Amino acid sequence: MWLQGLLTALQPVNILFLIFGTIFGLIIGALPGLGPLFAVALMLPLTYGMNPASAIILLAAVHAATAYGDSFASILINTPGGVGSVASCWDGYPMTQKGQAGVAMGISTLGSFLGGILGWISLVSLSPLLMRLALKLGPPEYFAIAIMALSLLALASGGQILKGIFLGGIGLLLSFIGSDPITAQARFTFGSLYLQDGLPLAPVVLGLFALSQVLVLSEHGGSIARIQSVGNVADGFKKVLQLPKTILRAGLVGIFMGIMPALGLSSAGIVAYFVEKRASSYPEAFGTGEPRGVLAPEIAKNACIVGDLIPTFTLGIPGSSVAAIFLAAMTMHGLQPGVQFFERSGTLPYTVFIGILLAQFSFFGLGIVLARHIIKTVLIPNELLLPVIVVLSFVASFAMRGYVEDVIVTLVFGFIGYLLNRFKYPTSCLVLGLVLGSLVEANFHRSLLIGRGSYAIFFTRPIALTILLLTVLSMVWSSVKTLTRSASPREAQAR
Amino acid sequence: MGELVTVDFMTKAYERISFLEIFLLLILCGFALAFLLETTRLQQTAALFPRLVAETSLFVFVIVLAFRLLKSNETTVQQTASISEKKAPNATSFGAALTLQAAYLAAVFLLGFPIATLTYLVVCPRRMGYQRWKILLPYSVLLTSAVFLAFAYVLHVRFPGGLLSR
Repeated sequence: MWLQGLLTALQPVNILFLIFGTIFGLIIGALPGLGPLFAVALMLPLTYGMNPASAIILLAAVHAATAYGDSFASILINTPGGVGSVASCWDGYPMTQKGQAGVAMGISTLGSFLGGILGWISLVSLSPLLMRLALKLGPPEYFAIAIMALSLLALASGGQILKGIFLGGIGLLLSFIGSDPITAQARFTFGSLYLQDGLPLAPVVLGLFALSQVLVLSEHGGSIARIQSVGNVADGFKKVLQLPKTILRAGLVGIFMGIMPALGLSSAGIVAYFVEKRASSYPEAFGTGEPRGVLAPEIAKNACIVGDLIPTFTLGIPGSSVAAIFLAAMTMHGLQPGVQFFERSGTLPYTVFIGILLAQFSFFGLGIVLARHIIKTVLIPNELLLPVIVVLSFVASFAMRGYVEDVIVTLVFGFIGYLLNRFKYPTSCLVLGLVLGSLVEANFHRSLLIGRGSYAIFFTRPIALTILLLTVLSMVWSSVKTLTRSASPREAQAR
Repeated sequence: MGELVTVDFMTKAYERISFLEIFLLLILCGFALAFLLETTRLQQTAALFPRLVAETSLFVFVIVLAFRLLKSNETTVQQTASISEKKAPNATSFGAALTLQAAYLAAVFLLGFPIATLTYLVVCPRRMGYQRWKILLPYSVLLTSAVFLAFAYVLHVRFPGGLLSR
């Protein structure tokens, strides 16, 4: 069956769609703010006349390539290519400034590829097991997971814990704007229809990172790379191969975030970044151009987007908006997701799986070629590059939904992001709160409804209790580690 | 005497925290406070979580502010110094850059995307001291055309036509 699937996937027409999808995905990914959702949604109508295998292969290629291409802008110009690549900015851009854009791009290229491969292995081998685990999780467990992710605020603050908690709180409050998840009552909308849907993540993130960076760079002048060098992509590959533990950790985070409905691309990279930071012996190196800070989110992001397809294929439950489009494509082509997809579709599932695997190889191959040329962008003088970042940020903000208000949001958050940057407030904490807010609140209320108003529900469910205990333990462990380190200044000096 | 001490403390506190940082904290704190007030008008379920977060944020804000005011003014001095040290010939003030961004946004809706973008791509580099017209003009025209054509015709984005198109 696998061999037949491979032969079908390797038919010239499918290879053509694979390459077309990859190029299209890389271009859309490289544009600031436009992520996989935009690209896959745009491609869906084109698949009408295709056979099911070609359609899914095309969409898989667009999906994987866009997720990878998102990192170009994040690493080179500190502008998140999409909501999934926010964390790639945090160490990717400092590497670029230090004249290591090529190394960072190499890490991103191989990291994304390995992440995709790990996600694919989990898709074909662990799907039933992972789904059984995922189905055991209810709102209390999701709440506990979200709290665990929020506990990363302390790490995200980079030593400024109070400022981090304050900004995390502001991020949470921003995420509460719009309809309440339980009662649907409008909150903080001032009667505006625009705010009823809540603050859109992409325009906020574009403002906080891209426009604020434009303001900072305008003041500094010069060019993005402070050293007139871009480094070598191959050096990035070598770095990746030296970090097997990071690959494994971030891969697991990505797969986990992928199979959980509601936990998705936007949080996978961020959580993987902080998990890696927590695991590191030198967390203070993160944010200054640490290769592991680029590798972890890249691996998690691509593992997540493939892991995302597990509930879609096995249960017919889309884990994210992009997976929902995949589901729509399957239905459109007469495919029944779930057990029937595997039992009654002949070699088709195998063709689709091989197609998803080939998509990883396709973006990897084209990515290497593209990365070598695109890194030179950072040598362009700021007076020519910065206006282009502004134009692309505004266009990307507008293009997603066609709302003028989205562009205004980007501008406002650009100003706030600049001030946060200038006075050394940890912007990542605000993003963490914004990404996790709705997940925390919705699952908190759902849990209370299930528990008939009793908070005991969080402590009587074994999985939820275990996750909460692990959160407390990891926070205590982190504090002890910090105290021990600050108690031995000689060791710190030696570093 | 008491008044003098208060004035002295306020003056020192003002020296330690810049106007822009006060402005930033006012925006963030104002938002948390406004959200807290908003929760008084909401149903209990809808208000529960935001109220908890807003109260915690404001509590932490007070501590942050206290620490900030009591800390030495080294940070502010360092920040100012670091900005002035790193300035290159093509540097400009953040106020000018922000004004240009806002003006560009307004121009898009008044003049339409192509004209506003072309103007912005010429004016902004000039404002930052870029002198080479032979590069600047073709660069701006090509970029405007590429972005407009790609988004309008390939990605089907409907750009604002501006008042001129009406």
